[in-house]
Amino acid sequence: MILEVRDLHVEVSGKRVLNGVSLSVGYGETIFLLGPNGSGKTSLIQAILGNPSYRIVSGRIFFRGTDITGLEPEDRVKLGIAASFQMPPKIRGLKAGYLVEEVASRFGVSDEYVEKLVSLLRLEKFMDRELYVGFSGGEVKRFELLLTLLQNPRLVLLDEPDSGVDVENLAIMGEALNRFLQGDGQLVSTRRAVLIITHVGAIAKYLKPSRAYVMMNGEIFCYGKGEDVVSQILESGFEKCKACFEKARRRVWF
Amino acid sequence: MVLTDELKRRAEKALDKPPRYGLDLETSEFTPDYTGLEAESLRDLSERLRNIVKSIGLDTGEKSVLGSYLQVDQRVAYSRSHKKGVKVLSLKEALKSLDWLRGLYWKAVPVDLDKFTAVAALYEEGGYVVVAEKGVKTEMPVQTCLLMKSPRSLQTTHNIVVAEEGSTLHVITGCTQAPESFGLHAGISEFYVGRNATVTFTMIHSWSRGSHIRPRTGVIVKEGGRFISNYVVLKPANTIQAYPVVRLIGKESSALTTSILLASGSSKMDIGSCIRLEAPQTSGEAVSKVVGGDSSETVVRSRIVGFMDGVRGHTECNGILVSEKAVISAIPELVAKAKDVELTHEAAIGRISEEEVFYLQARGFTEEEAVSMIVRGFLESGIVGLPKAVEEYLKKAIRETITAL
Repeated sequence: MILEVRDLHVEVSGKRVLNGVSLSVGYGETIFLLGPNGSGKTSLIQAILGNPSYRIVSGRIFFRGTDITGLEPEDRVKLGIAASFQMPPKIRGLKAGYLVEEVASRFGVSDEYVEKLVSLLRLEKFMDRELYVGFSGGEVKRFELLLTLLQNPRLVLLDEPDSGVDVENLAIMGEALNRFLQGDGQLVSTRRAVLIITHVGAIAKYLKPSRAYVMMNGEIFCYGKGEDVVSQILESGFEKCKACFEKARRRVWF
Repeated sequence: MVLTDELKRRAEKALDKPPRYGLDLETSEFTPDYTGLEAESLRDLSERLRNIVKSIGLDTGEKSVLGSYLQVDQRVAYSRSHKKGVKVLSLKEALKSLDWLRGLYWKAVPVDLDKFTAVAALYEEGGYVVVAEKGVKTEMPVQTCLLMKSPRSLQTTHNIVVAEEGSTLHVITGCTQAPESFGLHAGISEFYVGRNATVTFTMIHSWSRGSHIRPRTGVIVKEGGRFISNYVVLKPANTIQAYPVVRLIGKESSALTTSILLASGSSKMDIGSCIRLEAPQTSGEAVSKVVGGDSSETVVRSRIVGFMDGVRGHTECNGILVSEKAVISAIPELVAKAKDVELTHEAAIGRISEEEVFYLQARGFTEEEAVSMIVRGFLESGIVGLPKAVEEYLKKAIRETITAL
């Protein structure tokens, strides 16, 4: 397994946001994590990244067999985890292009590869801008994907790459992701994996999930074959999923 | 001594007059040092001095500047202009060769403002005069440098910058000192911005921690003129107190004063500006960006006074604290002396954003690197209204200082 989350309980400002989440991602897999707003999907990503605001009450996170639960965020990143944030902060005065150069040099990515990705994601004209100041929703998502891929990660975490993004932007991002997963970077595809948070599933048009998990109220409700889960949710929404889960839980208990 | 008896009498009377803001000091504890040096070119300086002035960005080859002035302690070491229509002279030379300069001498700063203007007058020796003649528009800056190298010394300087009608002038001043030096710097700067002229003034301070800095600055702007100042403190002295007063006396004139302050150590800074909107359709803006580190204490003042209907003023202070012990106080003051004025202010001071720090950590940077990047961006975003070369110069200075922290 590239990632294994075991019975994770997490609090933010004293409020429980994850209640015993267990999830695994295998090498070469594309995993979808679905769920309504506020179900805990972003909290899970932030906990995996080591955000200090997300306090781990109990449970463990393993990355490529190593327990990373107590590691500093930058050390997790060095091991090969990279994330696209759903709503990254605007950083005034920080040139987007400067950050691109710094990230690329830190992760040993060649200038040619940077140019190629920038062009593929159509971000040339944003390099002189302050980070995310005045960017549209789609532009933020594309730029987040650029920074994420420049980290040449083994595990890519994408937090809602498809929310608030038009079809054109989504197609551009889908192409970049597919190329990356097919070995466009320095690692071959079988040594990478992607975990994608989505609550609308629009990204499924461009990336086929091998498996999918559904989260609600800070718990994993169900999981299954990617396409099956996505089509179920698209068809019947999360309510049916919830009913199914309640039924299953009752069956176990009684 | 070129002071008139009247100025001398007023200065002597003010020798014990405490400053309105900031810590008071006993000026007699510091002694002027006249040993100094003279140089035929900035390349003639000793390697050590050359490295010190280069560290604040002085171009010793003078390729990117129109002219230069260097003062070491009390002595004028070098002054030269390489551009026709732009004069760079020492104060003494200028008072001899420009007969009209007497009419401006000590007119924008009162000689008896406080004990620091008084000592600057009574020990007046060095200082630069930069003049852009009528209609001369320049892109490259004039560079000036005030260097202190003797311990416990008093450095005074009296600078006069004149932009004649329709001219554009950029002046960069670097203030620095040898590491072993400490003392009191009392600098007078007078700016006269003519009709439809523009002056940008960029001052970078890089003092040592034992020094006390008391500049006194007055600016007078005529019709349609524009004055832009960037006051940058990257390596703070022991104490700095500055409160330039900008008078917009011609209609449609404007001013923008920006203070970019990186406070560290146990420094105490009291920095601000006053913009007086004295003529119709004038506008002024005072902006401060402060980073409070270590156990520094910084007071940021801004005062905008509207005397006429139809004038506009805005003041803004943004501060971030990167240490538990640092203190930043913002004191905005708006004074309306006419019915139809538009004066506004905003201020925000807070801890560095944890969200931004974590975001950069998640991009592979350590916490310290993330803080540096945010601080640098925060300070750089305050730089506006400068020609590209000066902007680059300032950004480089900020980058180098923050990297070295």
